[in-house]
Amino acid sequence: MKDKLFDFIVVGSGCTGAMAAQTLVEHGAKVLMLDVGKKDERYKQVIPDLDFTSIREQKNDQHRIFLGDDFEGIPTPGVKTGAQLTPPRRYLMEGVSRWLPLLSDTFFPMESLAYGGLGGGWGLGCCVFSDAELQQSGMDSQRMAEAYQTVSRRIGIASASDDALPFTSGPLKDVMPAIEIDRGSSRLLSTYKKQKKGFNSRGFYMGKPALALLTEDKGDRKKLDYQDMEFYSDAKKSAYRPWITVDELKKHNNFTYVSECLVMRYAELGDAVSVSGIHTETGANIEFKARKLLLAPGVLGTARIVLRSANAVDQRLPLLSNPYCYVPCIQPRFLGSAMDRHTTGMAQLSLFHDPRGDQSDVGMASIYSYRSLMLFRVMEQAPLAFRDSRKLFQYLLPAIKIMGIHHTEKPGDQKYLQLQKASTYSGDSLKAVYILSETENQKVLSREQSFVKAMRSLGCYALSKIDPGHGSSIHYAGTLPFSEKEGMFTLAKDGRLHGSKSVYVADGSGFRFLPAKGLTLSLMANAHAVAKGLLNTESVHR
Amino acid sequence: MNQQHQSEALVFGRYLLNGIEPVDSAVVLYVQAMERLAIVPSSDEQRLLDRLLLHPMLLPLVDAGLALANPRSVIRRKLFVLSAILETQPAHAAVYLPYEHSPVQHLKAIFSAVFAGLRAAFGFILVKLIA
Ligand SMILES: Cc1cc2nc3c(=O)[nH]c(=O)nc-3n(C[C@H](O)[C@H](O)[C@H](O)COP(=O)(O)OP(=O)(O)OC[C@H]3O[C@@H](n4cnc5c(N)ncnc54)[C@H](O)[C@@H]3O)c2cc1C
Repeated sequence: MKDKLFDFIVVGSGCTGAMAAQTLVEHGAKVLMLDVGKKDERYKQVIPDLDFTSIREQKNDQHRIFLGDDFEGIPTPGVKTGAQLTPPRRYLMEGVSRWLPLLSDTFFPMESLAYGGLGGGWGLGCCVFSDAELQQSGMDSQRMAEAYQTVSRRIGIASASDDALPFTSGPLKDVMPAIEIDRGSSRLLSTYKKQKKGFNSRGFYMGKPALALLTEDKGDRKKLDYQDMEFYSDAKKSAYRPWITVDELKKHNNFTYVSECLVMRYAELGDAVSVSGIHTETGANIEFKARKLLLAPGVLGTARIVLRSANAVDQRLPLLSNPYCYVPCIQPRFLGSAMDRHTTGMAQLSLFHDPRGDQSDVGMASIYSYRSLMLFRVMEQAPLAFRDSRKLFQYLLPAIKIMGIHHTEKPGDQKYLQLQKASTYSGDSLKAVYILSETENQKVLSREQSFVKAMRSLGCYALSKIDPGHGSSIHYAGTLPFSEKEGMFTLAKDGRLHGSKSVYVADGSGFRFLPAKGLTLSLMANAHAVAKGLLNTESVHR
Repeated sequence: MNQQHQSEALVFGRYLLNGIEPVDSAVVLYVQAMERLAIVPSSDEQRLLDRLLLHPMLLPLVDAGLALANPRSVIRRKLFVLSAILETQPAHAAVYLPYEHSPVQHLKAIFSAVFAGLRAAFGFILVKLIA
């Protein structure tokens, strides 16, 4: 394989790599996907096909899925990243501390070397960016409009025709009916509808979220069965996971998937590009060649590869990550009530704050009910004796809503990445600095207060606010911003790395602005658009 | 099986479950967890731990006090791990899963919350005195 010349090498099997590869493969190009590709080999088989409550009531070995064979599901005090991951999802972070070293006191991102990347555990929230948001992000609305439709058809999106629609699936055709929500969430939505005028006059809009979660069967993927086990199992493939796409691509002769390959750098050789990496099991050096390279190892991963390939130690790259916090709230009406047996742990509602009314600066809150992540995770947070907090949370749980608030994000002087020399296997480490300015902090705080107030008007009261640290939104972008001018460490609109002939970036590195809405649908649409644009270049031989 | 950990599981378990005996499988898991997670008390913490095993009626106050004074203490960590284990035992599921409360149970829950607050305050003072 070493001497074979592929049409394209795609690095990474996450949401962006999978989408780009699908576009290329479907058009007949010869594609090699390089990936580290960690998988869950342990828990998949032991998760019973039962709803959460039945498992809790009946299964003697349930501790394996809820706590893990090595008790890895019990949160370690002080660990910020990945604390929300259940044992069957821990593989998402496997190998990261070793292979993707990162130094920071201010930024705690989550990266993945998994088959399917972070998409193996994403929350499925889908939002189409408005024209104003696309423009600020540096993307072309028309090009993205087609791409959104294609991606939506591929992954399957369920959404409702309600007040959230203009912010979620908006113009998308062929969406499935929205998910059913639980009693508490229905109550919030009906209260909102009654007071709609007042909310809208303050710039708030509420509705069901658009989720990449099937409510109708799609090929071999089954519709959601409301077992409330989405944080553990993908047996029926109701939730879109990028590995579903890659599994399908593997059936094509023009697609080759190589795992355990950690890409380190590339070098351009005339009309081709050579990509070198390390075999993560043997430590051997490996090399592949293609006419074009598509980088999709996640924004931080791309920064490492690009900076290393350019020998640009100490070069600063801008960094975007949505500020994020979550607010546990209480809906007193549901205190001490029973919970719906059949529900979903994914977002129940979306609340948007568009004070200008032009979708240029929208804040977003996702509202979740809490159950399948277990009582112990919340009990740990309460300053009470464990026996008291068990009783208290058993009573409170049906009334708890967790509101996750995302804010818009623009570049700033104190938000950047650098590759630094370090005594790691690669001789370097990524350094991240992320400090919000005073003005940004004020804006974040004031918006959070607006959301808390809006929830209060809906009869849902904030208990506290939890700041899990910068980077915890798991939304990253903006390191190689789109630019009309040929400048080092920027991207052309079509995803080409300026200064290169054959290197393209398919992940979110180009986004110059991050709307508060989940970025992943746009990441996938952009990846498809980059791949489609590449197919039009003459150098592709089929 | 490690005797010390076994005794901890039984004493802590009875406390967490309001006097109910924890099932054997939970005790086994607790002993395994203590080994895997390497939760090792300092000598001061070991002394307090020994005292709690001898006088389990101190547990509610010490637990509540530590929750405020030293939430990351080894004793809290041990209780936390056991609580997580008990939550995954079908035999104890009913004390963790939410249920429809009757009006009397609502009242009881409100009283429990008030007592929990008081316990935390007294426990805090007690832990400070012990320290
Ligand atoms: C718990 C959770 C909830 C989330 N919820 C939402 C949500 O509701 N909505 C939303 O929009 N987004 C959400 N996200 C974010 C979303 O998952 C990411 O934006 C998205 O998955 C990023 O995809 P990516 O392809 O850019 O990168 P990644 O998912 O990071 O994929 C990177 C891929 O590249 C491979 N790779 C990395 N480095 C190398 C290398 N050097 N060599 C070879 N291969 C490499 C990895 O193995 C992986 O396959 C969530 C994420 C998490 C973890």
